[in-house]
Amino acid sequence: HGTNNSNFHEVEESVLLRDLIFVFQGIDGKMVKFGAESGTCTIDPSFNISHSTRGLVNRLTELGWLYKKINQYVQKTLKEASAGLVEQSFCSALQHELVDYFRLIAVLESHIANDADATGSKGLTLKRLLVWTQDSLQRLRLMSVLVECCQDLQGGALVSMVHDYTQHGDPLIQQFIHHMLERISAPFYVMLQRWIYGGELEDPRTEFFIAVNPDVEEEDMWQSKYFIREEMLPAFIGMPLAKKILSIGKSLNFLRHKCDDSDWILQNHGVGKSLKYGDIAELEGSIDAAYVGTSQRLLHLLSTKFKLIEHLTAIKRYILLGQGDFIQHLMESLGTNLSQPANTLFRHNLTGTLETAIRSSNAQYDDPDILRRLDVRLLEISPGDSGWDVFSLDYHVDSPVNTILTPVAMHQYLKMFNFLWRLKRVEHALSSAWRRQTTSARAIRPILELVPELHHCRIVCGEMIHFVYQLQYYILFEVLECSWDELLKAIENNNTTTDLDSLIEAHSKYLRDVTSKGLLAASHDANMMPRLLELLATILDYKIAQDNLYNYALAEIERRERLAQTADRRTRHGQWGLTDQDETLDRIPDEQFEELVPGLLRTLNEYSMQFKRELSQLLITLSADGDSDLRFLSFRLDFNEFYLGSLKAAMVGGG
Amino acid sequence: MASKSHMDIDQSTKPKDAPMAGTMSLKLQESAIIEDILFTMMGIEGTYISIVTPSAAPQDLDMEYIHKEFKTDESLDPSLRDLVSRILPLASIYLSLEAFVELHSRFEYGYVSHALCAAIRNLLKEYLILIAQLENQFRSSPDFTLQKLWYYIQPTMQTLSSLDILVGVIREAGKKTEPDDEIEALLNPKEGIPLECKGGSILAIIAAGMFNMSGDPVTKKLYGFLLNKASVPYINMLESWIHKGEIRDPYEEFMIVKSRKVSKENIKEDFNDAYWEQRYTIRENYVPSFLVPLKSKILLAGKYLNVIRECGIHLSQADRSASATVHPSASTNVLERNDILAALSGGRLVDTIEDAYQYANKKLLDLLLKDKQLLGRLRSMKRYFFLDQSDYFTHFLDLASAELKRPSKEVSLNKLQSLMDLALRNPSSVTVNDIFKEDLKVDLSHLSLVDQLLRIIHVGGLGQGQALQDQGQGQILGNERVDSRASSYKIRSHSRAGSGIHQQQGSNDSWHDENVVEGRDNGTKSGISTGGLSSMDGIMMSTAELPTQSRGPLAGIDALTLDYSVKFPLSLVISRKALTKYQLLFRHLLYLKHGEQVLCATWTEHAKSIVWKNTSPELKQWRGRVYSLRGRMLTFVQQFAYYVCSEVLEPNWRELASKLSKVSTVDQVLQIHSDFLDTCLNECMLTNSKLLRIYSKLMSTCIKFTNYTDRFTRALMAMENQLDEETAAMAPSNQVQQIEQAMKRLNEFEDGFIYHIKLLIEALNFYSATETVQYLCLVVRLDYNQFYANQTTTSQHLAGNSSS
Repeated sequence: HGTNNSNFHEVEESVLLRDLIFVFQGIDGKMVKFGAESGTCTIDPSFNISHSTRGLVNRLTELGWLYKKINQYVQKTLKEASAGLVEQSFCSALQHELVDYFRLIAVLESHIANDADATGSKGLTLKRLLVWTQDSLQRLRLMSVLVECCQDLQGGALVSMVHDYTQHGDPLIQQFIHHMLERISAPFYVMLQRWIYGGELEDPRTEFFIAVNPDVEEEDMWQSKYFIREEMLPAFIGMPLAKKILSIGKSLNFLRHKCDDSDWILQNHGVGKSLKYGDIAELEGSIDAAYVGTSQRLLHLLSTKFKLIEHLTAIKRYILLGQGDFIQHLMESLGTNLSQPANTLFRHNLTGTLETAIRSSNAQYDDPDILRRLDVRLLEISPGDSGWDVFSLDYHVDSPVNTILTPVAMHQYLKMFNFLWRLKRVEHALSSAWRRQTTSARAIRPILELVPELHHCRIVCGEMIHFVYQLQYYILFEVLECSWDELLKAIENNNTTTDLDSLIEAHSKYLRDVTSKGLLAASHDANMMPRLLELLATILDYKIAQDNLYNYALAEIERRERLAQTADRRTRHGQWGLTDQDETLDRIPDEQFEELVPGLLRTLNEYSMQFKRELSQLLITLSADGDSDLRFLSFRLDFNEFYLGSLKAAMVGGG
Repeated sequence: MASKSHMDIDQSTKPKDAPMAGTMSLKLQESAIIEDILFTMMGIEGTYISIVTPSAAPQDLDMEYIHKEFKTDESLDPSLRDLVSRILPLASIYLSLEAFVELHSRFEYGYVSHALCAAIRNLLKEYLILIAQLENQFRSSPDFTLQKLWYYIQPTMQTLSSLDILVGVIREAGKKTEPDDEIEALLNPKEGIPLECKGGSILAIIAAGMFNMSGDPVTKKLYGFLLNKASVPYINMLESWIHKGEIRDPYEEFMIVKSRKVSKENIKEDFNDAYWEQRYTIRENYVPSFLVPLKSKILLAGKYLNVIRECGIHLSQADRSASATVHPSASTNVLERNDILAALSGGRLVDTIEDAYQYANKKLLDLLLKDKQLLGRLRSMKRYFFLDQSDYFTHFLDLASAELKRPSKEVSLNKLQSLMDLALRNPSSVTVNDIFKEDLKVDLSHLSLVDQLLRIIHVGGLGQGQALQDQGQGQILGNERVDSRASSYKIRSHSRAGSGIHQQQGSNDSWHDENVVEGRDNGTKSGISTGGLSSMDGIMMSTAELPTQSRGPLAGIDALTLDYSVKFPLSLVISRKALTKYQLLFRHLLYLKHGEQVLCATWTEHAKSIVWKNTSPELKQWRGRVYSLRGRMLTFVQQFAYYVCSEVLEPNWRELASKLSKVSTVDQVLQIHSDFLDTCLNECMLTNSKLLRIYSKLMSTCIKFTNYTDRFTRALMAMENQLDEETAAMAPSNQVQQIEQAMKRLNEFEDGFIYHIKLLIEALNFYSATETVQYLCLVVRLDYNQFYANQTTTSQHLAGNSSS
């Protein structure tokens, strides 16, 4: 017997063991008691226990201390009504482990009971107790560490904190934590499952890493209704994966609420699938599958049922002037109307004209649904505006396509239309000026005084036409067509367009390209756009001045013809053809030549000088721009260094 | 990890009334001491055995390790006491091991430490069980003696003391924390746990222990067990690296490090392809010794996978397993299976690594050759840089001739670019079908070709004691100087302080050479630190010191060069360095083409101008000299161009293409490509400064000659005038002067040309022995009828003639 080697009456080991069993459960024993403040155990010093045994007992009491700590946490959390689902599952996992621990204690106790009957052979001793409790001790230690760390943590944050502890090389610890995590993360995975297979957010305690903003309007649903709460993101789900998850749920909601496609969701989703903690790769796999499934469905619906591509094409054709004959008709039939002051315009008249333009061009073969959306819009009228300033085409889109073609985007399109329309108008004016020059060339040839001036007119007109054509070429081909091509590629290529987000991104990149390369974006020199508009205005002014000159020339010709007829008549009557009172036949009358004509020519000259000046300035701005396409435009506009040369000459002259 | 705070029990409550052991009977003494020993073995003080607390500083981390001394009651029977004192070390070892386990299972010590500690903990648990059994024995059988106890604990004692030795080694390794280098200490500020007692180092220590103790089967088995357990996390990391290219290494214990600073975007700009070299590197000193032979394979396997992944290609698992079944553990006799590897993961490791290496290689090769069309890309580069089917280029030169005549500083690059685009997109040109034509850019160099080459050769030749910034440049042509295979010897033979250049090359080559692993870290490090500057800057900086061949502003045509934008995975092969070589070759060709063009223009002038056509019979001989000189020059230029195109570039490219179609590893691709470029440069004699000087003299003579065409024409007119006596009298005096000058110039041209071309032929003959035999082909071309060889006398005769 162990006790008989001491001369003193020592406390029986079995009594100590019984005490310890209580202590293990956090209950004070007879001799071993929990201290009041620190929570540690002490043995009543009044009992006669050997020093070494005290040491051993002390080691064993760690179990009780750990148990107490864990139990306290569990009780506290369960009592709190505010505890989150994940926290609850954490507690339940802890409790589950504690049950195992109780089983061990029960077994130990039965051994003590046996011991009491048959003292001796197979009984329990303190040392044996120490050996048997080693595993439990390690578990309890781990749990207490977890409890310490996870105080005040919620949801995803808690999961990710526990997950951090899997970063340990000890296989035992790894396994244990893994096992715990499976239980802890169960509610999280349930939420995840609901979200990626049903698009529902069941999150009473705001623990999930995806949150909803209930105040968001239906229009912005895709953009800002759901967002990621980063602090709740478990560490084992990376940001890209989280974004995919967000996108899945968003797509599902979008399908349900915007596309009326909830049947598909019911039929195709989450049948018999359940997620749980474990292989991240597997989780990624099923998320990827769901992601691809929903995104494809969504994209498919958008391109078939909601005709996204058709809408984009229509916008390109009508708003961005892709349909040439239609624009030509519109320009011709509206031209006279639009020259009037803006406040005399009526929308219904314009709508009628639009209808005519559609009917008389190839646009009539377009889908009626698309044509229905095409409309006229009058911008806000400020005093002094002419019709040209306020007229605009408009294109209506509705849900769900307006998630991509947002009002902001449509506004950009309208701005683009405005600019292009203006350019078109200038081109129109210039071609009519050219027509005038060509048709009346023969008629006004007899006015010898004006021949050099008219020739000069043609040269200046040629310059302007070159400018406008090159600018148009640049915008229509280099900018619009190239960007459009990129957009189409992005939409059709399944690798890049995986979900609605990337579609939106592709479209906004398209829009950005168009506006930025089309000179409208703010990133360019602030002077560029005003200068360009000024240039266009100058061209229009010049055209008017030129018209005046031609009108005058024709009047002069008419005068001469009249004179000639009179002379003819007189000659036939046998008189002198010309009398002294008559003006000269082949010369512009002096008073006109000195007053009227110089005025006309001066305006012409002024405008042409202004044009040149402005264009040189524009070229400088363009060639200084960061965008290489714009630098190429400047090269294209000034391919033979005509303006650069004159600019240099001017600088040398000035210097 | 758990705090032991609650255990701060009052140790001082020592029972005062414990009787002296000596007073008891021997039997009682023995049983009391056994009771005590059992406690002590668990690390708890007994009644008669007490711990002598060592007087070490308590804050020292190592405090817990120090073996505690135990003191036995003095009055105990001496023989018992002696036996007890033999058992007591076990207790102190146990305590020390406990402390070790406690400390090293902390997170910062890394996976391998954790796993090792877990293994040790298991052993300690067995030890505790043994104690419990002993106690049971002791209590149940009355004849349990100290001797028996001693007998029972023998095996455990051996195990624990082996463990103790191992732990001691690990602990010692951890102490050597002070980095020997101050800079290194600055770079890695105190990051807690030194690498020496983490991860791979631990495995290395265990493996070394196993190796050293392999005579003792028990210890060997123990070490094998520990190695097996401790290596599990490491092997996991290794597998995730070689199979997925991911580094899962939160505690920095793995052998491969990823450098965050180096991104793939730099590779296009940076001259030294640092990405490929620096992105992933091996922690040289921390590779477990048993993995050393495999380390380059391990590094490459993961690196290749990373390249593939960065290109956005997803590596699917199914794909892998399919390929794994294709080569069912390809027989690898790389190294004999030794016990260490057998202990790791049943010896499969070597096969796994080999398979992974093959797989990664195959994948990347497929990516480069199939998806990214390396061959097509190279073919397109050949078209643009080596001017095969170069109708586009003629077109471009015609369009841009006015622009290119200007000094290079005034040439508008935009304009050239748009003209080039125009030429490339011309639907009648071959280039229109080239899908890569968008990548071609026009560029202007700030140095003439010859200057640049001379500078490079100069730098390359200087070798020792060269300024740092030149080294990178030296690399370009470095490889020809030292045969890449032989270079491995050089690395070893050169001391570190020796020639920096050779080390540089060595590091470059050894990268391709799997066998060369030593000496690489030195080379690489110095290469990185010195070559880190873009060598383009190097050229700029060295402009002042180095000789410049040609003075005056560079004409546009001389500065013209092409550039080619290469996207990421291909830029591994077509790096900035390779591209520079392409550019050099291109400019060489361009120079020849330009020479041919201007000589042809001279011919046109000669052929169509009336003065030259209707020369008086007296002057026919003079005209003939001009014609023949022009003819010789044209032959020279054309033959040279033919040589470059059809005897150097074309056959070498064919060889490249055929080699690339058979290639099996990515390293080979890199090697073949760079060999190809080096051979081309070498055979075009762009790497030999002597040849290059002669060549550039010859070319400049030709071009100067064409510039004199006008003057010769005028001189001829003047001579015609002089023949006609009437007009001769009226001729202004400067006409005579003009004629004299022209005569002189012509002599100069003739002499210079013939002198240099002979020199060139001689030099080529000479260098064909040392550099490449290919030069002989050029000699034959230049002097196919032994004209120059037999001409010694005639040229003297001519010279004598003209001087008289």
